[in-house]
Order: sequence, then C-alpha cells, then structure tokens
Amino acid sequence: MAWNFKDLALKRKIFLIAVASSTLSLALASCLILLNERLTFPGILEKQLLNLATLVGDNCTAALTFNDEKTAQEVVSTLHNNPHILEAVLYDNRGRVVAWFPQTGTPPAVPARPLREGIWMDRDKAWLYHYVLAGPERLGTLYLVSDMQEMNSRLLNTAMATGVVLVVSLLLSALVADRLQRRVTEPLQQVVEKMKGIAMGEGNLSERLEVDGRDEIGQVAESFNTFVHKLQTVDEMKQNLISVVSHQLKTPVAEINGYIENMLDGLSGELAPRQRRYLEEMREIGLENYRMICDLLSVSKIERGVIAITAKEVPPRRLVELAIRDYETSIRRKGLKLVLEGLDLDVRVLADQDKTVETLRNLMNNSLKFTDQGSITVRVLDQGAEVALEVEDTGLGMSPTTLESLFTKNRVLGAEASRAGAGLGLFIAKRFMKLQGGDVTVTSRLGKGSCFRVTIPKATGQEGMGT
Amino acid sequence: MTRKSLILIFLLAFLTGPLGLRAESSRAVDPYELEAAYLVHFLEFVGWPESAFADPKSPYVIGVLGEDPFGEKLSRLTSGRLFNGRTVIIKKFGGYDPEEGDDLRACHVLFVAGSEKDRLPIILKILRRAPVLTVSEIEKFPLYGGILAFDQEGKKIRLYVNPKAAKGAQLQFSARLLQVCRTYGDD
Repeated sequence: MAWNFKDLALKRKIFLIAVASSTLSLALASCLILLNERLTFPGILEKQLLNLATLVGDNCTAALTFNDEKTAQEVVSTLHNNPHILEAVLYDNRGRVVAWFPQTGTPPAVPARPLREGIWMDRDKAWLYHYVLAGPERLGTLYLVSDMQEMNSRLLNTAMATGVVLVVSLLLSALVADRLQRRVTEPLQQVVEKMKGIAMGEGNLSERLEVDGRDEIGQVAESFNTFVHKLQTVDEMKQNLISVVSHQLKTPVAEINGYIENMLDGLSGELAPRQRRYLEEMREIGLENYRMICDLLSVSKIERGVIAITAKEVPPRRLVELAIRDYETSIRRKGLKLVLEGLDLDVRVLADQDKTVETLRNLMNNSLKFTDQGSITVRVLDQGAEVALEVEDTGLGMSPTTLESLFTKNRVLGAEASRAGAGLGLFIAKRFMKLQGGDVTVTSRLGKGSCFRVTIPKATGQEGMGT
Repeated sequence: MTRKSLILIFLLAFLTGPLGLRAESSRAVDPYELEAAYLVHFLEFVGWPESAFADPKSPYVIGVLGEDPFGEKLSRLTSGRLFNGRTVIIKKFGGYDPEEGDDLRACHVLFVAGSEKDRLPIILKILRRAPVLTVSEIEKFPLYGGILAFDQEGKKIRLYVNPKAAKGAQLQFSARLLQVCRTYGDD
C-alpha cells in the first residue's frame, strides 16, 4: 500500500481532500463535544446530587426533629430509586448515624462523623456532604456517594452519536466530493485525451476543445486551442510545401527515367557493359525516387482530403492479375515461389481499380523485399459481405512493436525508413482501402512471415449480375 | 487531600465528641427537655388558620395547663427566636378553671399536663373546634379527642396523632410531621 499522493489521479486527490477536510473538521467538533461533555459533567452532577440531597434532606427534617429513625430510614431508603447512588448516610445534628443506604443491617463503612459541607470527585465516584436545615437550624447532615456511570454512559452516548454523524457525513461528503470532482476533472480529462491524441498523431487538428468557464481548466483549453491552431497552420504549410515540391520534382524525375530507359533500349547507340550497368543502377534509383514522389503526393492529397474515388464492379481475379504482373519475374529471379489461390472465385467487388491494384502492388513489393526464401501466396477469400485478398510471405515477419505503428506515416521518421523506402506505402494503402469501405490488416510473427489482408466490399447491386 | 480530610475528621471528632456525649447523657436524665423541644418544633410543622392570629405579627402562644413539668425549659428554647416571623409567648395555667376558657382557646399549642387527666373531657369540650393544637402525655390522649400525644417508649418518645381532631381544629399538619406520627390502630 505504498502509494504516493503525488501520483494519484486528480479526481482522487480532490476526493481525498474534500473527504479528509470534512472528516477532520467533524472529528475536531466531535472531540470538542466530548471534551465539553467531560468538562461540564462535574458541574451537572454536582447540581443533581445537591438537588437530590436537598430533597431527601427536606423530607428528613421532621424525622430528624422528632428523632424518628424509622421514618428517616424510610426516606433515605427511597434513594434506591436512583441507580447511581451507591451509599447514603444521614447524621443527626450531633453527628450520630441515624439512617443509611443501602440497608444491610449495619451502616456501611463510612466516616463515623460527617465532614464539612461540600462535594468531592474522582474517576469513579463522587461524595457529597449536605447539611439538612430547618430555617437557620442545622438538623443533621446527609452524606451521598454517587458513581460516575452517568458520565460514562453520557460520554458513550455522545461518542456513539457523533460516530454515527461522522460516518453519515463521511458518506455524504464522499458523494458530494465525487460529484464535484467530476466537474473539475471531466473537462481536464477531455483536454488530456485530445492532447494525447495529437501527441500520438491520431488527432484531428481541425477539432477544437469547448472552452467552458474562465477557470484554470478553461484557460488550459483555450491555450490548447491556440496551440492546436498554430500546429494546424504549420501542418498545412508543410502539406503545401510537400505538394508543391513533389509536383515540381515529379516531371523532371519522370523525364530522367525516360531518358535512362531510352539509353538502355539502345536509342543512343551501343552501350559498353559498364555503361549499361551504371544505367541500370540509375534506373533503379530513379524508379525508387519516382515512387517516393508519387507516395508523397498521395499522402498530401489524403491529408488535404482531395482524393477522388471512382468505384467500379471488378472481379477480384483481375485485380490480382494486374498487381502481380510486374512482380512475377522479380519473384522468380529471387528464387521464390508464387502461389495463387482462389482466383476462380465467381464474385465481383466494388472497388477503385487503380488504387486497389496500387495497394496490392505495395504489399507485393514489401513481401518481395523482406522475403529471401520460401514463397509468396496471393489468395482470394469469400467472406460474405466482402472479399479478402491476402498476400502472405515466408519472410522476416515483424515484432509486435513494429506492428503497432505499421500503418502510420510517423514510421517515415523511424530508423528503418532507409530500408523500407519512404515507408509511406502502408499508410497510403490503408487510407485508400478505407476510402473504398475496405481495410488493410496484418498478422505477423517475427521470423515466420507476414500476412497482409485487404478487404473490399462485394458488389451488391443488380448491375453486377449480367456482366 | 487525604491528609487534610484525616485532620478534619480528627478535629471534628474532638469538637463534636464531647458535645455528643453530653447531649446523650442529658437526654437520658430528662425526657422533658426533649418534649419541650418538640412542643416548640410543632410550630414549624403545623399550620394554623389565619383566624387564629389577630394580625400577621402577633405571636404564637404556647400554653401549659396543669402541673408544669418543663420549668424554664420552654422560655429558654423560645426567647429571642422567631418562628415563621413570629415571637413565642409561654402562658402557664394552673389547674383547669372554666373562667379561663377563652384564654385556653386563644392558645396555639396547649400542653395538657398529667394532673388534668380527670378533667380531660370537659377541657376538650371547651376547646372543641378551636384552632388549638392539644398535646399531652396522658395515655391514649388522642382517643379522648386530643390531637397529639407523647408516648415514652424506653429512651424514645413516640408521637401519636388524631388526624380527625386535627382537621376539626382546622390545623394543617405537614406531611413530614404526619410521617413521624402514629395513630392508634396503626400498630
């Protein structure tokens, strides 16, 4: 139970503070009440005993005057009605014991003669000497011994009552504190969630927090909104920059690639073997660059929300055939086996052909890149309302931590970016498929291989039946 | 604290011890000392009707009829003292004399001595309905129509009362006094 107040959630802190302060003040009040009870009791007891002694004494005046011990005894015996009186003795004016209580035949062991008038107390008992007077004449003295049970039971009652009050108010204050802390922590929680979202790169920068009130939380929310607005501006500038730069780069790179292709095709004359090798390397690099620029443009379009989807009914087989066309030779050249399954499935999907093929190519490209032996399987599966296209390899596989951020564009900044190209492919693939009502998911085991699954909704309309 | 109270006890024992002894012995010698005191104390425990006094300041009258056994005891007990704001006059009558009937009826307390035993019916007849507390040591005095009787029982003096007679005389006995009195037929 070694918890630290610092580490508690704010709502727990507020709750604790509220409950603790109310408990503390109530406990203090209870202590004061008990203390007051304890301090005032002797005065109350003294008054009570004095009243009792006066009453009994007055009833004894005739008995004392006319030396009637029997009557005196009767009067004194009435004290048995008071459970707190332990002993009582009535002396006459010569200090002789006339009557006593409790009646056990012999007087109890009490002072043989009365002391001066007064009251004495200790923890368990109180003693009282009271003169029995008739006018100015002193007829005798009444001696009373009382227990302190009454005080103890009063203290107990008070303690119990305050205890009950304490518990009830504890519950009430807990209830109130619970309600109050929500008003403080819920807006704060909202701010925290939004901040986390943006920090993880999942938040939408165009969203704003509702500012409610001018308290600290309201100020935090406002500052946060300003901050997000600035971030949004910067983000837009970045997108525009990427868009502009990519456009400017795309055409020259395509042109360079075209010239390289021409040269390799022998349009500029016979090439020496070394020239050919260099040109082939340049072609590789050029194509890589071109693809990266295209990816950047795609991302930019996705982020600006200007991607257009043109969905048509297509058989999945066609999508697969278009996707693997460019890779068949590369796969064979690398000594891998290409396995095709379920291509004869007679269904149609509603898909943007270009973007879906682009997605599949992307997956093929990845599998080829990360698989050094074994096979690559492309599979078509009927899944009821949708069709799944799987690309499974026997390659390196991925660790769970890699899987977590696989479909985000943040990976571009990661250490593995150099090997995986720009690393934007999977981000784009997922966005493309989501825009069509599909998805891209992955299962993978490190060292065993990965399986990417593209889902596309089936064509449902009548229009697909005949064609 | 304990030491103090011990000292106090000793001190009190010293002071009150001899007094107590003397009181004890004197009472054993003279029961009339006690009876005289009782007669005076009755003033405190009995209420008389207003008609028994000429005015609020007029004194109580304690009368002794017949051979007086008290001597100076009564005047010693009452002289210079106020009872309910009144002084007390002691009046001594010799033997019963019909001439003094009105004076007898003017007493508040009348002690009928043993010497008047034979004339009791006539005395009580004169005092009939008068607000006079009749007290006597004559045996069975209340049965004759008297109000209070002293009955010496060993060392003690018992009080017997006739509540009916007290009521007839318009006397208010305090409950405390009645508590210490017996009536014939009680025991």
